Amino acid sequence: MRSDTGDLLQGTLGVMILKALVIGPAHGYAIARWVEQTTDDVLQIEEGSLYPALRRLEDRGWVRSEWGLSENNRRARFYTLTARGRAHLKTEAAVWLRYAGAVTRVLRAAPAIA
Amino acid sequence: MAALRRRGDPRAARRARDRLTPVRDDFGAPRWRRYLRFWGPDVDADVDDELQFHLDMRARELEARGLSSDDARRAAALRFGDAGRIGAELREHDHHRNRYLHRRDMLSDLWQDFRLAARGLQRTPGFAIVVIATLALCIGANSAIFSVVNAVLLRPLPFRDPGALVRVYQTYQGERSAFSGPNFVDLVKSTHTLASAAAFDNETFNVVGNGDPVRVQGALASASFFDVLGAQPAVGRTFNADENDPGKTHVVVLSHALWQQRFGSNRAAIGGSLDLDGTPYTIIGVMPASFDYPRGMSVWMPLVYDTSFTVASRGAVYLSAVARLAPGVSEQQAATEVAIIGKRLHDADLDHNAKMGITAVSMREAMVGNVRKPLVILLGAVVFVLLIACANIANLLLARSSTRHTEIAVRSALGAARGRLLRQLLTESVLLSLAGGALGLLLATWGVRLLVVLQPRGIPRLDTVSIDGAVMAWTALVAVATGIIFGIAPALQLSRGGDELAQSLRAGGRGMLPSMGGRQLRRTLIVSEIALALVLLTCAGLMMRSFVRLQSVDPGFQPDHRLALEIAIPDATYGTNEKVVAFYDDLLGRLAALPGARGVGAISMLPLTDNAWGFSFKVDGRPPVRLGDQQHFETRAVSPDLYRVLGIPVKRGRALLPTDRDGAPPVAVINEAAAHRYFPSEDPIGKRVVLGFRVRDTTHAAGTIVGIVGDVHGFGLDQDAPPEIDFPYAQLPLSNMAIVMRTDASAPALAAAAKRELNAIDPALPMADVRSLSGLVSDSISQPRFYMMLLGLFAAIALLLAAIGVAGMMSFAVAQRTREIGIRIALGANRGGVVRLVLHEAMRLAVIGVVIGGLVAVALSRAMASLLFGVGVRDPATFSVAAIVLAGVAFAATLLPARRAASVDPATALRTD
Repeated sequence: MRSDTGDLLQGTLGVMILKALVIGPAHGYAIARWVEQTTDDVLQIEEGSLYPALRRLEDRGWVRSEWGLSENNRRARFYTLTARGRAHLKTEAAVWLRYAGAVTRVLRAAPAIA
Repeated sequence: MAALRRRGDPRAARRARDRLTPVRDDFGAPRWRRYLRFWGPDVDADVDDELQFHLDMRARELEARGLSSDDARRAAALRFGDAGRIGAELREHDHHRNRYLHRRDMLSDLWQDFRLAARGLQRTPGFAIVVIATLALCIGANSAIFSVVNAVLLRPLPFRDPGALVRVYQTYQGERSAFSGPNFVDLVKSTHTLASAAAFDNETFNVVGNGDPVRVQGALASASFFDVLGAQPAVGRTFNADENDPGKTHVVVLSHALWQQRFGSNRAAIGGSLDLDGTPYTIIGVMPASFDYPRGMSVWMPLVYDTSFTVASRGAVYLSAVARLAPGVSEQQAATEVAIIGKRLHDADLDHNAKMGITAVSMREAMVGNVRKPLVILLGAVVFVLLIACANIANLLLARSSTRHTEIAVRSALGAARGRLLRQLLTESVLLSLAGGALGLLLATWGVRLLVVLQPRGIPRLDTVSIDGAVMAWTALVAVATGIIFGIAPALQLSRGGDELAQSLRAGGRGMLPSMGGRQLRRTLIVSEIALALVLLTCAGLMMRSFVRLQSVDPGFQPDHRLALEIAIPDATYGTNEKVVAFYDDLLGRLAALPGARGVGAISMLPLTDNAWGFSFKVDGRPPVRLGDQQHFETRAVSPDLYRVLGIPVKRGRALLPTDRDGAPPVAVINEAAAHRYFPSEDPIGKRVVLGFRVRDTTHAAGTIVGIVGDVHGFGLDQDAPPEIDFPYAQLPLSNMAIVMRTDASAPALAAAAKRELNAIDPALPMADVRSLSGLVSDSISQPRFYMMLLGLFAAIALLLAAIGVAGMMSFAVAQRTREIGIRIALGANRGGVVRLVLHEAMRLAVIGVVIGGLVAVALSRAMASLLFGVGVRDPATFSVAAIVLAGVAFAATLLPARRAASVDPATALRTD
């Protein structure tokens, strides 16, 4: 992310990548574009952390990769969500949403910020 | 940043098309690495590709938004971040992961291969059993022999820093002899290369007290003896530096066994007294059970360094010497130095030190040097046997291959890589050989026990032979190597055919491969087998012939039905000539009266017992000979009946008589060797001989020669009889005599009775061991017998394997060519002609094998020269017999397949597809 990164955001990056792959297999660039488009360019994944993050996900067995042809016939590495990754995503997403919801409630509670 | 656009490279052209701008595509890894992908995933190139793809896509997106291609590219790179660092990080991660996956895959592949191989072998249990049994036998033999080689030759000697120990010998005419006290003392004074040295000698003693009287072997040694060897006592202490001085020498160190037997391992024994030959010695220490040098000693006592030892008796040689090299000194340097010292001593005293020298050899060489060659030859022989077995099994596998073509073709068509196939086939072979090796190790434990029981005399350290870690490691190594050796050729052949077979399968064939290449390989294997077998047969034949010659040497006496009882009487109780003579007169008289004794005699030293007792002499009427040029007689004291009892013929003159006693004229008898050597041109009878020693400081050994008797091979059947002179014991009373009894009754009964008589005369005398003379003779050739039996066994196994190999191969060849044979018969060839055809082919191979083997045997048998007796290394009779036997066996092995070929029914044969 363009703002400060931290452990929380590192985990967040992982969750977002997994969510991006729910649709189907995608290469690294497609994942980055999806996040940008879905958040209307609010979040732009720092590409330096994208690929290391993908590797970590693969090490944990949540994602697997294979080489294939991109839409313009170029050789690219495609990442796919595994069953274990899908399960992990479900739990993590629930946790994050509950957390985010709680923070939102705190920040929206009276009194309003001036 | 310059673009790396390769002219003419299609991939680069494609990339240039896709890229909107030429882009650098190295993130650290050079381009040529791409081409390594042939061997598997190329991690570095993949990382490059992935990152490059991302950058290009980003650049294209930015261009679509309106940036120029250059700006787009730059922006994409900026946005990405430090691509070089990230690339490096990814590469490291991927390499690591690759290695892990590769290892995991290999292991799981290997495991899968093993399971597949095991299942495959289960389907053909007969084949597996035959192969495993053969391998068990051959690998087991290998392990057994290696365990002997390991224990005797390879294991470190049981001393501190054994590499620095040397044995020093005084030599006589270049041959290893023994030191005299003064020479040893002078050596120690002059040497710089030897840090410390000790002399030692061994004798037998009667031990009395704390148990029955018993004879033991004891060593007399320099005070530094234990320090030189680096041996620590288990209890108490060893010698102090001054305990060689006269008056301080009555101390003794016990062996562990003696301490256990006579003192019940009681530490309070230290300080007590031990009676040796009537003299009390103070016990100062006990050695640990593992210390056994010299071999078989029960006690160690200090030598007495009186003037007789240090100065006077320069010509009396009887001492062994062991020394430790000074730090940094090599064995060579020490040997050179002691040789110089020896020369100096020789020149300084030509009378006593004539023809002497000094030499040093490493302790290891001294202990095991003389058995190294035969043991290595034995090891080579078992390796040959194993190679023959490998050839057989390889042939078997090749034959079996023809039934597996379909399986291999199918697997290849389904996509199995050739390397994978090869690995899987090799795994089968190694699985077989590992199973054979495990079983073989078990067989080896029994084999080793058997070898130790045979206990051939003269092979040192044989009692430490065991199946230890080194032997197990060797067995594992040999098993794996064997599996690869016999498996590689069939596996290569089978897997090579994989693609062709797959094609033929797809084309609708049955996946059969013409066996042209296989046939050549099988022929080569058979020829090699036969060559190896011939080498083994020849060497075994040479050993056997040599042993037979050795065994048929007439020892010079009759050993059958004779017992020997060795007696030693202590000086304390039998200190005068009269007492000694009276004792033996009494004993011989009583023993002669025993029922079952058909003759009783006495001799001071039995033949063939590694003992020597030689003295220089003077003959009356001859000019005095210079001290240095003097010759020697082996000297014995005998009873009058001895020649009759031992069956030694009297050639001339008379034997000794009971009247030849003290008071009568002193007489002597010499043997033929002495007569020829010392009296070549005159009649020895009537000449008076005086020997250079005295008994009990009173009686000179001297006498007039009255007879000549036949030679006895006292030093060994393979050596010439030494010149010998015998005196009647009544005139030369020696304390230690061996009683020889001839019997045709039961030997144990007579032995027991003899011991009872001995006890009756003097209960303080230890019960002597009884040995049979035929056992004595047999023991003296036990080492050559041992080698011969083992080599013979290996040659027999090799012959059997070669026969099986030839039979198997010819059967297979006949089966393969059934069609051709059927055609021949159908076209009118007679059955006899077919048989001749098959035999002709087999014998051609056999003859080639025999010729090659003969040439190799001629080259190798030279190594056996020192082991053979009476047989040349190129003995034509042995070579011919071996060749004929092998060819004959090959012939016989081919007969059955040949008959089967002759009985081929052409109709059935032609119908076979």
